[in-house]
Amino acid sequence: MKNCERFTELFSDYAEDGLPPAEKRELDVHLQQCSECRSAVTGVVNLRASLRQMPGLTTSPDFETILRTRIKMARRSHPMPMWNRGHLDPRRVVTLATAVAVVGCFLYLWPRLSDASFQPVSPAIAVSQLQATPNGVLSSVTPATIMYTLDRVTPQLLSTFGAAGRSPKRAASTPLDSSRTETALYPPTTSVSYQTITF
Amino acid sequence: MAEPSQKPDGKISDEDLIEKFQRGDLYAYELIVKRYKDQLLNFVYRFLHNQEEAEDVVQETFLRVYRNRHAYQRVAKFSTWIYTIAGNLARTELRRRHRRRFFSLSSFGAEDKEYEISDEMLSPERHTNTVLSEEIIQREINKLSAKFREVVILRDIQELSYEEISKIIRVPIGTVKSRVNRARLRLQGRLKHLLDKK
Repeated sequence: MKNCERFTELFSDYAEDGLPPAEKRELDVHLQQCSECRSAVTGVVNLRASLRQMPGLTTSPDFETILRTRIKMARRSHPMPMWNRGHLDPRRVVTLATAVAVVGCFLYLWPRLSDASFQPVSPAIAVSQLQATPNGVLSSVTPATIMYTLDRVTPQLLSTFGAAGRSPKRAASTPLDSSRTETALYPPTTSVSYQTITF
Repeated sequence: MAEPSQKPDGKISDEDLIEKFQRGDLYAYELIVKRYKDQLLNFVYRFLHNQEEAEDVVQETFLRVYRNRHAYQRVAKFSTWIYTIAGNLARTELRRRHRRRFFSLSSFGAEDKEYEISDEMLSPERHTNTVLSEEIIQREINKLSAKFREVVILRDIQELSYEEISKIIRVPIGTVKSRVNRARLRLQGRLKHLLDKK
């Protein structure tokens, strides 16, 4: 009986001819002696043959029509999520995002890289340079630079210069004072007018 | 791009068809449906023993293939993938049916017991022709638990390899073999009267 239990586990492999030769010989010997196991193995072999002969079913004639209808209905009621569409698979999204980032960086940096003369000037230097010219205008300072500098001119600075109410003519006639450097920024006689800076 | 691989009979492989479908070729999807609808119906029908429910499950299987076509990756065989979907849906349907039966039977009183279906109605002495033999076998298959039923259908009716069954039901090959053996022994024990005649 103990042997029968052990051999029972081999019946399927035996019926499928999948046992190693040594085990097959051992089981053959057992089957010659045990009618119960012999009957069971025969039963398994017959069962396999019967199951294989079971008639196959075919789908109903309108199977595909119904399927098409169900697909149409499903598409209407549940549109496919974006991440499940072929053209939006993760690899494509990453590639697209990278391309957008590269183009964005290029568009941002291009005007700055192409304008080699662009050099931010500190308010102190700009003002001192302006004062060094007869009309308060320095040829090397572009309007863009002046505007940039103006952003940094605080109301306090303008009031220090006393720009309000001064005419451009008077501002232009301010004498050059060589002692005015970056260390002497805001002398009381400085006459840089608001109009001069923003011309 | 790789050349489309072909089956020995000259047909385009399932994996190439699903790739074409993934690229938007609806004709490839129709070919998949034609190729698998009867195979899947037989598998699910043997599982549920109800053609209407089985067709419904197969329809749902193809619907899921349609909707989730991009989830398939070529690392697995297409047949494994579609059988896994169908098997999962069939098991879900079986659980649903058990729940329905539980609720409907629990509503019966003791006097309703006479309405229960008796196995003696289909005694082997009364039914000897092939059709009824098949019916008897099918009834015995249905008495197996789902895990035994599934493997015996896949192995002995669908004739899939142990390796493929192992991938479909996601258990080791050794477990599949053990389940197949136990299922066969149970069936042959219950169908002894029928099998001895052969």
